[in-house]
Amino acid sequence: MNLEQASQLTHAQWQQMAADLKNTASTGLFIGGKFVDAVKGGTFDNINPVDGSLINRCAAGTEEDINRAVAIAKASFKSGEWSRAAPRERMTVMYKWAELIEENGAELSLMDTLDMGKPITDMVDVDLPMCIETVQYFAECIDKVTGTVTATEYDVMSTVLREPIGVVGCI
Amino acid sequence: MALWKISPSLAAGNCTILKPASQSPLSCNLVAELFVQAGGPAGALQVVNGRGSEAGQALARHMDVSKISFTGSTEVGKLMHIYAGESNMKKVSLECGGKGPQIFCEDLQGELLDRGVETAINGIFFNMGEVCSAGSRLIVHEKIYDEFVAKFIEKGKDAYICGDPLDPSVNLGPLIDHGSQARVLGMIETARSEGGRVEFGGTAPAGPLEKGAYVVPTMITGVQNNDHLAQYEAFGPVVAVIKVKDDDEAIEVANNSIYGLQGSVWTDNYRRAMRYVREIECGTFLVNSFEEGDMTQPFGGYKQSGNAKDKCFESLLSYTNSKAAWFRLN
Repeated sequence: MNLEQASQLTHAQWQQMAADLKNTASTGLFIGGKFVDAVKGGTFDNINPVDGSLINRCAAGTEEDINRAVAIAKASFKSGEWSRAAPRERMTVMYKWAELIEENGAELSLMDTLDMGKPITDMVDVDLPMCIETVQYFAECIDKVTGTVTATEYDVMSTVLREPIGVVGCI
Repeated sequence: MALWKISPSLAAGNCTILKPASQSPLSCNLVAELFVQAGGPAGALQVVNGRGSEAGQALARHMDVSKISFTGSTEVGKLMHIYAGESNMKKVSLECGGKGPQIFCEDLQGELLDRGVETAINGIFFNMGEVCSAGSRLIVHEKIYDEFVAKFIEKGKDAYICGDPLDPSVNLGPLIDHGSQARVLGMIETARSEGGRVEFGGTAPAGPLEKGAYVVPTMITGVQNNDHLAQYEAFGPVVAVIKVKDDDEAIEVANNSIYGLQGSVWTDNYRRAMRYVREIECGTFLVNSFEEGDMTQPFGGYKQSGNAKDKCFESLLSYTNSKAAWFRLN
């Protein structure tokens, strides 16, 4: 459900959506494009701070799962499927991504409200619009990254290129 | 917030692995699934939930990870440098805590003073104060101190009311977990014992909300800048008010902090405002405003608030390496 529709929902409708979401939200690790269990099978309790109740149990990744994800990320980086794609190709994906975040704005807002207790109105009116703007902004920036050619003697060409770093971890 | 990190990382062409905060595992999974639905390669964005001490540490210590971008406490942020140093010298980018000073100068009156008070109320109580750039220290010149405090109590006491965050009319939910509630209530008690005066709040709500991790919006006056509440981040809806005699003392107090993320000054005097802009050690500084900005402005700290610059074009470049390529042509 998109943000426009989300802004019309009542308290009772949000509560109904929350009850459904507890059973439908993906709780696995998202590795290689699929939701999977942790290698060691561990889980942790995802608690709603509103009353201390259990929302669901989520897969608890450990070093083994990180190793699995990093191996896939490294192979993807070397393949160039993303890291060497034309800037415009990456832009197209990221603009589409921003659209899909907007179309799922109600679900994303609800997830953070359940997990963190943040008021749903703040999620819908402030956080989600900021998330979408962030993805769009960095999509716009992709083909604005430039290198330089510096002044040299006649028989030299000196350039500075900008390259992606590799596998990046965000915590 | 995760999108402030993964968006520039992906835009720069990196393959990105996200380890979300263990209190909020669900939305990151859906965000990553949507990236693949949008046509992104499955290896370019992955999510591994888990404990920071296990999954988080393993990611930060991995020999094939080239950069770690961390958002969280200053204490854990420092561990990231250790993990990087003990593994492969990966780049470390940190966005950590804050104890944001908002300074209210003696020339304030009328509409500008009222706007300053209202902005200060939102600057600390929005999102339960769980904002690293929250304005949690109000540094007020003694000439307007009594008037400022009276107005803040009048307008701030009932501006944010605890309730069910699924109710669209509610503007204050619980803190992120019960451990945070205990920490914040403990800091309020410490402030009391150090001589702070609780003007309003100071408790968890009784009645139907008592099972939740709630803390009522709290204002504490008479705080000294070396008190616990002025030096440590509460990450909750608690504001400390500090009285100063002039600009020199305000600047000294504002800068006497391990943090330097966001601050502001309220004044009608542009030379005074410019002095504060130059003197205050923080990454974002606002004049007659708070919590404003846009994507083009860097967001990030000075000192132990961290070394990252989020949003802005510079952020994207921080997810790239520069390579010198020298061609001999003869």
